[in-house]
Amino acid sequence: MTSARIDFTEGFDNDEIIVRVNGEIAFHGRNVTTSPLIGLAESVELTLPGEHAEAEIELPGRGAATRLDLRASRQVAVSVSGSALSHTVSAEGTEFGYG
Amino acid sequence: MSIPSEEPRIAEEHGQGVLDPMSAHSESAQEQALPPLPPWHCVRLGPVSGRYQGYQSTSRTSFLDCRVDIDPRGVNSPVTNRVSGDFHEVFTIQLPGRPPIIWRRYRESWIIDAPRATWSRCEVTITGEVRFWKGTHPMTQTRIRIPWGTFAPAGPAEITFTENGGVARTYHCPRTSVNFREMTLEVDVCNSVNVTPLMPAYHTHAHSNRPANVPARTVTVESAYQEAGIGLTLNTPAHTIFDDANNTFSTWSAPELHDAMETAFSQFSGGWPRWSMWGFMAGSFDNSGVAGIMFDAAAAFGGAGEAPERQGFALFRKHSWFNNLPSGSPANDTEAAALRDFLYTYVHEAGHAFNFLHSWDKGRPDSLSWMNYPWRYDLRNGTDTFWNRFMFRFDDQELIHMRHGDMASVIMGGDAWASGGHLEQPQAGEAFSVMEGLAPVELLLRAEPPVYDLMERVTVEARLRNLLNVPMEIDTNLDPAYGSMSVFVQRPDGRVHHFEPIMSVIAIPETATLQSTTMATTGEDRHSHEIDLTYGRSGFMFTDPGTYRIRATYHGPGGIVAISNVLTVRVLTPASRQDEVQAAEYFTDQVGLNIALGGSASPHLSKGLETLTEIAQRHKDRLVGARAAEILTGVYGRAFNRVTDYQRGTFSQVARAEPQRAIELTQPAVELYRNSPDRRLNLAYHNLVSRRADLLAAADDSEQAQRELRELYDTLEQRKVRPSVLEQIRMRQEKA
Repeated sequence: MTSARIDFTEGFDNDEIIVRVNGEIAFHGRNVTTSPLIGLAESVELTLPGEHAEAEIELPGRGAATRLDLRASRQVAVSVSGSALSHTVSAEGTEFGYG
Repeated sequence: MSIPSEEPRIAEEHGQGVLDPMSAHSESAQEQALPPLPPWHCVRLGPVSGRYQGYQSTSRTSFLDCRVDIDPRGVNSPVTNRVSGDFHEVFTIQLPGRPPIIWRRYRESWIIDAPRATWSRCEVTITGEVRFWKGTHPMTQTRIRIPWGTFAPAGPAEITFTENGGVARTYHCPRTSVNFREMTLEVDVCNSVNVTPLMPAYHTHAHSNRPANVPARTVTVESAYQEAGIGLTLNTPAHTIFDDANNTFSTWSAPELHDAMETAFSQFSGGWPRWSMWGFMAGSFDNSGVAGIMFDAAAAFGGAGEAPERQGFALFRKHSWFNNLPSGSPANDTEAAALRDFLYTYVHEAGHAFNFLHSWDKGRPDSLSWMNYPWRYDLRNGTDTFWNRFMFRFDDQELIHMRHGDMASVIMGGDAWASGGHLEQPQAGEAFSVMEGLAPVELLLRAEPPVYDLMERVTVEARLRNLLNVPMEIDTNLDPAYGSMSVFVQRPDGRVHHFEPIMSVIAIPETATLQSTTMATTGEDRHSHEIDLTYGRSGFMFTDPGTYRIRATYHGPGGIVAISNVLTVRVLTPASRQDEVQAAEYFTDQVGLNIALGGSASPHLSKGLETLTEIAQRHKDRLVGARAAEILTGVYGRAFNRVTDYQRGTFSQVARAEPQRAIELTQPAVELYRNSPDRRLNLAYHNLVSRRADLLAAADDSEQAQRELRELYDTLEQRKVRPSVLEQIRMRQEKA
């Protein structure tokens, strides 16, 4: 079992967020809002079931969704602008920091 | 943010069109006609830029703190080509045979956005139009003349402000510092992370990924801010070590960090705003991805939600960034990167306390600033580009804000984080202004605990204390209606209101002498008064649940002025739906006038009296009811007379005194006050028992009056109330 972390960073404003891993709901957050103090809205630690781990992130209120391959990195930062979700993965051996 | 929107004209060297006095080509034509001067004539020591402070030449009632920023202060300190300043009002007491006691109050700030400097060999003259940050002012021009001698530093400056219409004021200001502003940073640490290094010191060439032209130097928190123009003094004679070994405690939340600050920060209980900041080294934040946080901001921003804001920040030593932090010099790039992140996080979080947002939130995502995230910059500009280009500095706009911004929006505890407009109303300058120097008297506002139910009367204790080593006369009636006190309230929406009582009373001041603090042993150096701020000329002040900030100014005999601390109080949300319904009946002028008048049996206010009576009876076991019941002693305790026939001028009693009813209605309140641990109820308890003693005397029950006064004495003695108050109660007991 491995783990991964998704950081919801910029652009969230009272959003509903659903994270599914391999089709199963792993996180369901409501009223998720970015804190300008740390540039971070929410972080989700996921325990990955096996080698194949695909996460689907959905923001129903914005009609936005994206898919992530969680094997690529232990940490993914996801931001939103309008109905566009974008993400970036941390480089090997480094982690994103917020403050 | 209060930064001007236009791009600043920053020059690493002197600005365009500005002649350097150190240049051999700067003599005027007249000077050239005179016999040649030796080359060392007027060779200046140090820059002109820096801080100049002094009094108005014709009157010492006005003080200027001026910041001149027109030539380089050092190799790594960019010039912003700005001049700015703060005006202060000065108060002086002259006691026979003693040096004068001087203190001052901040009034307002200004800036010159485009100063024009004309250099000559032995002086520089700077002119420009002044822009005040707040309020309405006549167009004002400034002329600053700064001379220097041979092998001497610049100054003093002669600074003249000329308003449109010809009114001119000149200040004589010696140069006091190379820094534009000065502050202290106090750092405390948790036991679990009390390991070296506690403070960062990073050499700019320690990591292989660096700008090719970055000057080699060791950067610390102090030097990073010194280069930014801020003199930062690390105020840590001994770190307070927090014991966080409790097994149930693993991570910190923003409110917990604020609570720790309240406990440990030695400056916390002083008046705010002030140029002091608290740093805290802790283990981990609730969100483990957070390496540091300036926690002291509104809850909506993820902060602790307790004003005043921007007083403190925290670093989380267990964040993965700091895993490879070396105890000495870094041995490789991995350790250097950890040390660099450590320095970056310190400077970045302290930057938030200067009211900085992140770079991308200011529309500058590509800014090479302490306030950007390196990894976010890299996302836009390529891997490892931030550290390859970063020169260890704030960006130009940030430098202007820090050095020259409106004081309220920069100073810690001033404007709320991410705002600059909270205190823009004209009275705000007085409401939350800064007192500097040694004031002769301390004015302290207290409410312990500072929490009120909705509909509870909001009363606070105002305490004056003599700080001189000689006795001082004060006006003891601190009720705003009598004119010696001005009270300002900042409501949850951020707006500042001047609390104006419904009546202004003209009366001979009730003066008393406060003994000197050094001589007083039993509290004769202080005087307390309970102030009721519930209802004023503009209606109820505390109508909404939320956080309120209160500050007061005392104007006493002999021109003494004192500004209080900022007292933060909270009004709670209604306890029940029934309370919400009753609030609609409570927040009416009829109830408010009853409260402000101390109770009234006037038929015009009968509905309000009815509501207060109902609240006193329904909530007799709560403070809401007890504080309402107090008002009823004024209604039922005495007869009410009114003109019943205006033509004949007949004045008749329309309501007889009902002391027994008043006694019954206030009985639960007495018991509640006696049994409550709230210190803020001491004064209310004292006042209520005194009033009941009169009522009991009127009802021929002196025995009960004696008993209640004795209980009051015993209770307040246990609560360590000062002996002079106990003596008052004892004397009252003798009369009863």
